[in-house]
Amino acid sequence: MARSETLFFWAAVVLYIASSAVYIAAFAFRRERWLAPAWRLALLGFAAHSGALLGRWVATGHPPVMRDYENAVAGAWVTVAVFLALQARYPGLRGLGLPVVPFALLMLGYGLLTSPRLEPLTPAYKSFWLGVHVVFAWLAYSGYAAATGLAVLHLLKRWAPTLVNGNGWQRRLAKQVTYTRMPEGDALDELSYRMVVFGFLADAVMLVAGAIWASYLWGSFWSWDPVETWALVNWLTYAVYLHLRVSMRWTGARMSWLAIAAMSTVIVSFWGISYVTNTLHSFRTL
Amino acid sequence: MRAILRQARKLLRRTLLSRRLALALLILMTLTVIVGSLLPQAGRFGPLEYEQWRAEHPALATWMEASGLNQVFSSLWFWGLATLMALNLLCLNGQRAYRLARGQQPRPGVDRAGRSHGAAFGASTPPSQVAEAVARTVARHGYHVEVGRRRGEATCLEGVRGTAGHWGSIVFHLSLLVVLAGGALQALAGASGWMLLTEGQTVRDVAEDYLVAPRPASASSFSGLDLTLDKVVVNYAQGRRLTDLAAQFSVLRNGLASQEWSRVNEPLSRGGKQFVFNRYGFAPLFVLRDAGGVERFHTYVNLMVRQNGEQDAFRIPGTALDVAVRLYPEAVEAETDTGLDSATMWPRRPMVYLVVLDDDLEVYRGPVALNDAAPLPNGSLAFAGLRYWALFRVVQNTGEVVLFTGFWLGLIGLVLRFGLVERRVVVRVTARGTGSLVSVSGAAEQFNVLYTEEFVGLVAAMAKEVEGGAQRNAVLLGRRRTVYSE
Repeated sequence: MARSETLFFWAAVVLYIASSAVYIAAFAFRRERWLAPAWRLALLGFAAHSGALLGRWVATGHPPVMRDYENAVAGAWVTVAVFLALQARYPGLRGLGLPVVPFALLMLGYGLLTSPRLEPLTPAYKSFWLGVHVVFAWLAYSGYAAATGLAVLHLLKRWAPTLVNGNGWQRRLAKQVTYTRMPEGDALDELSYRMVVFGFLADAVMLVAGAIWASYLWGSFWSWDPVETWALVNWLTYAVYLHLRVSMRWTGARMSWLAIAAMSTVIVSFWGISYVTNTLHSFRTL
Repeated sequence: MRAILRQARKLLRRTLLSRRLALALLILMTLTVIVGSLLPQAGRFGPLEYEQWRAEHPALATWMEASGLNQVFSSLWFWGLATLMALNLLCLNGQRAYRLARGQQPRPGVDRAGRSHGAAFGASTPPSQVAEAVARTVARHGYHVEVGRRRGEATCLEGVRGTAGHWGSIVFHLSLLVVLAGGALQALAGASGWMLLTEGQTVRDVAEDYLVAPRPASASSFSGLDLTLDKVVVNYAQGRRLTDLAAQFSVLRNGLASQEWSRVNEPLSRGGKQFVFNRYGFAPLFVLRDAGGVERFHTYVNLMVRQNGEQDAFRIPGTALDVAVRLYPEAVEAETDTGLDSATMWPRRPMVYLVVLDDDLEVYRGPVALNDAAPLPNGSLAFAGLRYWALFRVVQNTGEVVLFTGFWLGLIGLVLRFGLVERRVVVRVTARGTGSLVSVSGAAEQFNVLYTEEFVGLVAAMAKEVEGGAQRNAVLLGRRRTVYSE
């Protein structure tokens, strides 16, 4: 890593750890007023994170689109950016920081486990369409991640009234969910749907840009490569979600469960499939 | 007989126009694609790799070959499924387009709970004036005021906006058919082959000069243009990391010569084909001489490995000589099994490490520098030169234009569908004493809950516009509450 990148990277890690700790404490001890400082720490962490990305960009001379490390760091940045944008638009969603900030922290940790060494852009990466493909991939997966987080909150909100009559930890959980000033269950459901739509649109652009890039790089728009195919599986899974929502008018808990289950295809697509099968599309060797 | 045919036609029509079928086919396609991505596919691996897998899993391989699961994406049943999906898409969207064109638009706001937004407020002015003010407000907010009619004693107005979104859905779904058509055109009328050239070599765009002639042969056309690979330009960072790769060609076509480039991500397009730069490597020149120093054979050997020190092998035709060769582009002494390593990938001080077998008997083992020779019992084998070789995938993208059209239509369709959400408001103005009572209901076709904010703003604007109106923004009718609690 470059020196400036290292400084900002670790500053971001420390701030995200602090933010995560405050979020967890706010929920564990039912201190709603701690959500605001937790959010401010996340915002500071995001600023440091931006500095790290910028430092890397300047040091390498190219956008952070190569290999697992850059994809993980940039993907975490986009995820936090989407959360902050959502939270700015809907202030009642501060509680969403509880799953999002630790998730971003995990992604930074994963990136660090891979090689963060500075590398020049190889010829395969020198393509406008690759840039479009990668940026929209981050947007798509962040959108899906946000949809999943909102779906989880929606389910918790629905379960709260039944948990109130439960045992100790169930009553405490119920109080967490009801006291935090989140939007109503219906609004959470629709927000989750809206984030799926956002992710689906970005996913479509990602697939198209990837196909165009592949035609220039490998001479073929589509070769049923496992990573390509799983990106399509991703998209088709969320297409099923949208069909159920729009055509069959499904709403509520079952759509939330479907959003959570669909996230597994994103995880397989991004992390799993290139470890399991041979692929042209290995982020580690391209 | 006619009745049976009529029934069959009815059943077919109902099936092809079924949304449930569309959903079922989509789920089935998703599962099929998952299966195809996880099971070993014959087309994805080289024949040797597939045979190796087959030898390790004989029972599974037999079952997969019998069921077609080893070639999911080229199987009849996969394309049958895709065809059925395409028919279903075409019929459903054709019907929707017909209905939309006739003005039969679906009415929004009826989610499963049947909820819509509602509000009411009073005004001190007569209904006719109130109706005019309300109509102005609704129009100013981008709604198209469709109907103004009297029902009993009430004046009713209906405003609608975002109806173009329905066309977006149709455009998107039909774009999938365009993409499918482009893919079929590409598969049937496109062609793909491989061409291998060493620097300085000239080939013609004819089948015989290809490493692997374009297939399908019926789809390929040969322009006959002459291509000479002038040079391969390679750039490394810190001597090892490839940063640039390009091939310069001299192209002769119809008597006209030109110099062209093929770069990674920027293929050379000529004669209706694209020459996609796929791979490169080193091609050392070996010259076999007999004991009298007479040259017997010379060839450039395209080494299939390009990382320094990795071994490749070739046989000299007409002899029993097998040569294993390791190339070090910038040779330096090192503690390796050959005593050599390469400082960088730049060919500044190339050296080869040869192991020469004559009828399985080792006759030479050791390094040979450029322009040196390895002594053999009956002569010598000289390392006389070094060039690059380049491998190109030559493609004829017949379906490209159709595919691109499909891509763009699809994106436009999606943006329209989800960007333009149909919203309707219905306003009833009834006389109440000397004034009026205004009842407003509204709904969005999607994101109905999130529509609350816009609806509340619209009602507030209406109440403000109406002179002397008592402003009540609280939602009184229906079960909506405000989204935000802060």
